[in-house]
Amino acid sequence: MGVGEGGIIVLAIMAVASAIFLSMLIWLMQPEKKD
Amino acid sequence: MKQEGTTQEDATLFEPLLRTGKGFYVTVAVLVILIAWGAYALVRQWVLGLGVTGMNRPVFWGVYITNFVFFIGLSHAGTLVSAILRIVKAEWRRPFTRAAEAVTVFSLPFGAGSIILDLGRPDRVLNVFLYGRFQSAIMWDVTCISLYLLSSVFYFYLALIPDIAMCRDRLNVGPLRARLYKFLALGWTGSERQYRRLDRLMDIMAVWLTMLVVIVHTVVAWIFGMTIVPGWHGAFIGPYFLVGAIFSGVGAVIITTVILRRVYHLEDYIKPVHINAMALFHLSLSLLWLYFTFVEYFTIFYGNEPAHMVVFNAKFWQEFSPMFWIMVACCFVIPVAILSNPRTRTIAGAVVASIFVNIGMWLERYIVIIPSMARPRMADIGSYMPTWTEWAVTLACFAFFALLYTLFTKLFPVIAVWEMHEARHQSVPEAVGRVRSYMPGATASSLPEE
Repeated sequence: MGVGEGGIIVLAIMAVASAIFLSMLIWLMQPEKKD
Repeated sequence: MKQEGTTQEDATLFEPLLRTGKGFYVTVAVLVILIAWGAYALVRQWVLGLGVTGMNRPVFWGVYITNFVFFIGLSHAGTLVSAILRIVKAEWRRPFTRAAEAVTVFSLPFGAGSIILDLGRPDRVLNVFLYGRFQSAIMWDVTCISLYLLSSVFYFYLALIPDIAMCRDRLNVGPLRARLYKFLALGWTGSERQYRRLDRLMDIMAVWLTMLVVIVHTVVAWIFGMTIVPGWHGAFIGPYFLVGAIFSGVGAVIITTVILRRVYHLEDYIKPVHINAMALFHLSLSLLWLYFTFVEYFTIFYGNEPAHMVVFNAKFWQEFSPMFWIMVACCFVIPVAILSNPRTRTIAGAVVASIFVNIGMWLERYIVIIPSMARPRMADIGSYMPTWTEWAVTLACFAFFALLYTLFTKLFPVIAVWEMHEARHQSVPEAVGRVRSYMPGATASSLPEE
């Protein structure tokens, strides 16, 4: 593994985690369907 | 779950948000002065260089790295108390969860930040991202701590949303705060479906965070354990750090909860029975800590490897022995004496024990780091004495943590109102059904729904 790849891995993991948490929030706040 | 009547039932929990006494301003003023003094010391350190600290060769890690490990450890309690007790459905957790999660969220930045304080050139922290190599244990640490901070903040926020919505709907506050509540509530309506989904998300996050707690502190320990430095290199250092982290963190939760109980008159919510449960948990952690400490040092002693024994002797009977034995007294002798006796296991007793445990755990971190640096394999014996700069910056870190915590208590309820409401209206019948299901004769169909 080369120089700088460590930083990319950290940022990639953080980006994936942020996306998962954001989708959790969207699911939580999803408006209820009206009949 | 209906929210109706929640604010009437729990009006005490909203009181601190509406009324501010003189004590608050005095506390904030004292904390700001301490932070300003620390900021002066830090700027002076950046201008004059790390020579103003006690760090030298070979002791190039000192109080700042001790603080790093200590604050990260402190942060583990929030998750532990909130997440693990949630998973095992320990109902007495409810008054502690928010206070504990706040300990995590507000102490973690000072743990991670201590690394930057330790750098002579703080701007070079960017090099971690620009030139970082994943072979280095430091990169594992950066990954784990960043992920833990993000996950903890999310978990903390998730549990805050229903209460923020209550603040938005029921409190008569200024326009700025009203807008803040409206923004942070994200349109929460408090419908049955939202509460069901929130419960599911909280359960998922609780499991995720419990796993992260174990990983994060093991990886923090590997910064030391993955080197071949005497006193550090060993397989046991990860679990040893983890137990210590939970031990000090639970103590921090007890101290902060009792302060909040006193200051905001929460005697009806945080009762002796709650503190007693936490104190018993703390007592068991103290015994576990002694066992881990014994195993750690007995293995070194029996192995009798010369370089390791130099560090061992420095800790047990030489230069660092006063600190070592004070640590043993603070982490084992005093807390066990107080907490094992039902007459002294009171609220005051639990706080005194927790203060000693936290002093002892800070000393433990110091005792792990400094003696190994001062007794290197291939250089002369070193020595280390922290200067006023390091103490001022350390004090400022603790003051900043306290300031953030204090400000938080003036903006949001310190006990999760919706969780108290849930306990009253849902958990009591659920717990009765659960206990009945444990009894002989209960069938699988009589189990309560999750």
